[in-house]
Amino acid sequence: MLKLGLIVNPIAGMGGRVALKGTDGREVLAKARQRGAVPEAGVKAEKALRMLLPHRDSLCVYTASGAMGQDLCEKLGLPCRMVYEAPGPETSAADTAAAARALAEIPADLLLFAGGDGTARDVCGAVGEAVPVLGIPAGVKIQSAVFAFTPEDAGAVAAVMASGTPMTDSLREVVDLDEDEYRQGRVGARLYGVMRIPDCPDRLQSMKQSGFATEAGQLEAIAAFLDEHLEPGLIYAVGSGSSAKCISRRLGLPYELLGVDLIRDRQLIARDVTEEQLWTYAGTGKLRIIVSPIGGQGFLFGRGNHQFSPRVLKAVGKDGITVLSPESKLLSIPDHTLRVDCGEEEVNRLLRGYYMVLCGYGYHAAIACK
Amino acid sequence: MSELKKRNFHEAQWDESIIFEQSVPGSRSILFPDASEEAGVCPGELIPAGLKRKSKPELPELAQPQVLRHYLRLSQETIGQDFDIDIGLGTCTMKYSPKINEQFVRNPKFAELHPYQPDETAQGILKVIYDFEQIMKEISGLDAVSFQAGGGGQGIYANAAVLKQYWRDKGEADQRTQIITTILSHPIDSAAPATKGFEVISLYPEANGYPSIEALKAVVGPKTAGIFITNPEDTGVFNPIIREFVEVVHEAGGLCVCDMADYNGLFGIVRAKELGADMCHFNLHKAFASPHGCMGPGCAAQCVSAELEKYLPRPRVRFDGEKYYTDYDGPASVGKIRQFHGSLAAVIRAYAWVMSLGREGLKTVAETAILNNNYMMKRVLNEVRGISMSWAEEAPNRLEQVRYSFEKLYKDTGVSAEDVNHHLLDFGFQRFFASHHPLIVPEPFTPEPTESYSKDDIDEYVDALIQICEEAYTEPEKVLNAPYAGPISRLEEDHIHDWSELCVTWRVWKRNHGLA
Repeated sequence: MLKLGLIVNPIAGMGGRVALKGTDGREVLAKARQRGAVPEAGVKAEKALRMLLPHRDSLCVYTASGAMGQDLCEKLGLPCRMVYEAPGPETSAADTAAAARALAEIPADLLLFAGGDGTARDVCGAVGEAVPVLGIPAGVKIQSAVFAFTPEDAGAVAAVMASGTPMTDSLREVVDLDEDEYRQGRVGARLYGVMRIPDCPDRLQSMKQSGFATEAGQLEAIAAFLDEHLEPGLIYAVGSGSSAKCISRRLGLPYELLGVDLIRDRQLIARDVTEEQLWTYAGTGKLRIIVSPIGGQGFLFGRGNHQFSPRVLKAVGKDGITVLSPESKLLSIPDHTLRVDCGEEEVNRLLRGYYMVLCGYGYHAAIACK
Repeated sequence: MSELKKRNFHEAQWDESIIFEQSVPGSRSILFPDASEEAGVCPGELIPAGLKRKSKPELPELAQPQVLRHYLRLSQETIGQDFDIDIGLGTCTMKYSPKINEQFVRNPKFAELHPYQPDETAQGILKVIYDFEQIMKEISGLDAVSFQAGGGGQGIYANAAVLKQYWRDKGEADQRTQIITTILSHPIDSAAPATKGFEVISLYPEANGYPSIEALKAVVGPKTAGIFITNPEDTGVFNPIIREFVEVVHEAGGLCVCDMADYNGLFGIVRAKELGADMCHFNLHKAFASPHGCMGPGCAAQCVSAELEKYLPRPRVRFDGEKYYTDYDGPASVGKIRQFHGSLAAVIRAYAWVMSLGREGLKTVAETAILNNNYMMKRVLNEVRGISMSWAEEAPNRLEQVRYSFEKLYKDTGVSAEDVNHHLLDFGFQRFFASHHPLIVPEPFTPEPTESYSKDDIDEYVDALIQICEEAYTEPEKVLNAPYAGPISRLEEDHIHDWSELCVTWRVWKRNHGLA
């Protein structure tokens, strides 16, 4: 019997259609309503839950009151239990977090949430790595690597679990833009944390083929190869996220998951460095960068790692950048294309072209960066 | 849609236990007479002490009828190419293997040959090997052929070994460390060079279904040892700029290795030589009609240019104008890939198949395979709900196979490609092949209607697909709970991530289950 957690953020996505670039905060929500926005998250969540109808005998949905999930389960006739009751009709980030905490306590076998990056942040802050989580994409901003491609894909993952198939999961990044800055034309994404996401939600089939290396295994192989190819005297700036830090784990070095660390001669020389520090090292001509793209998005620079500023990237140059990624993450990126958005078009242009993305021990994928 | 011929099919169910579990201590298939009296000594004492077992082997003890019954029951529980319309198993080229060829390989003149027999007593088989090498030289356009590799993967490995040796010989092995391949070539085109110590760079397809020349140029260079490429790729898409690919690699000094495992659509139309290849391999157990698997075994024809002949595995078979002889000499050779001359049963079957068809017949094979596939493709895309073909807009043409996608079906109904696969069993078809790894086409399905299947066969298969996908839209539970016509319905899907969980022998099974 699958214990499926469900949280719908009823207001997620309302800002998008009315060009508000997000729906964070009550004022923006009021403005969105004024402009005629209608709730969409419930519709997206329903698409996901419909995938579960054939499995209704082998699951129970644990959810929150009213529009946060209960209404939907009752409409579809899915067995459900309420674990959190929102105090009022207008729900907020605090309700999402409280419901998520209640679901982590059960614990749910999988927590589905319908929302965007803001909702992902709230869920991540509440449950961390306690339970596997998967996002039903329903928000304006979907930059994080914790969402299925489509609502149906998210439902399908739950359906697979309801049919008794165990699933492995991997740590994936939650990033979010600062909406106020975004509205003013500046992209200021930050990495907020990681959650446990079922493997290959958009490519379920691949899990059914046995005999292939797990993502963790691939990262170990990548790290082993990198280790053998680190050059003495060079300074390696290891980017944020759990994939890039595989080299730190391999070398047994402490690291800042959401920041940039510097490694020289297999030793940590600085942890969680600033742009200024990177710029100083870039001046020596010995700085190299090790990064991994954000899953589902493909961004190498400009999302969650602004320490790599245009001037730092220009100094290091395309040839000084090593991109690594487990193959499954590459496949999660639409068109298998990397992206850069560092803030200066001239530098973006320098960084475009093909990268030999390290996907395994001595195994590279030639991937275009646009 | 024509009238559906749904067979009243049900898989055999014998509830047959593992043969070890049927063992009755003391049972024997043959009672040997006691030889001690005549020999004057207990035969066991003739065995040197160091070679004697300390304990008896744990073999199942059964009489002949029980053994025969056991294996016949297992064979009934198995679906094979000879009694199902085996269109679904694409990239495997499941074609009819003429049964008369079995008479040749079961003939005592061949079956009782010993590989250490003197050449003068084995002229027949040496002539077959030599003559078939001449045929394969013509089919590939290359200059020398070895049949030693025991399968397609080993054929690619053998070519990787030759490539490595070539660079060692030139003194550039330390510099030429990288192999280029494409993600839609067979995975062994990556794996075999990696086994030989090469780094591998894989190119991804663009919107037209094959990689761009720009991507190739971005990764080619002084480290390039060569390119391993399948064409047509796994998807049935023929890379029309293959010669440009080869030229770019050649200009960088690298060699080109063509994976011709999926050759069925190219007989008489395309040769490796004209593509510019320096090496290629064919699977005799696929396009050349020698059976796969149980009746196999596999065999690859490894073909190379004159410059690379000295690196081929040894021994080679040569003809001095009067007699055929085995040549073990070859100081530059990669040595042995496998014992002796390879799977000669496959060589005999392939030789017989080629000789029965002749040049025109071979071309007809390719044309029929392409025609069958395009007929099937037209029906599938027009009539099967929820199915699509990747890169259909920019690359609408396919040769001998297609990689379809059930992505739409899955999104519309929750019925996945795997669910369709389960339900096909209810129609008497064996499981289809989805895709090689990694799955860059979602919910994949790769059928290959070779020249062996009639229009009625193809219609029967497509009609079943149409019905299954209609059911997915109207009664999805019916497909999700399939199969119904098998002894068991769905197995729990499980996979092994840790080698220690792997259990391939009775001894390990007992150990893992606490029985030993």
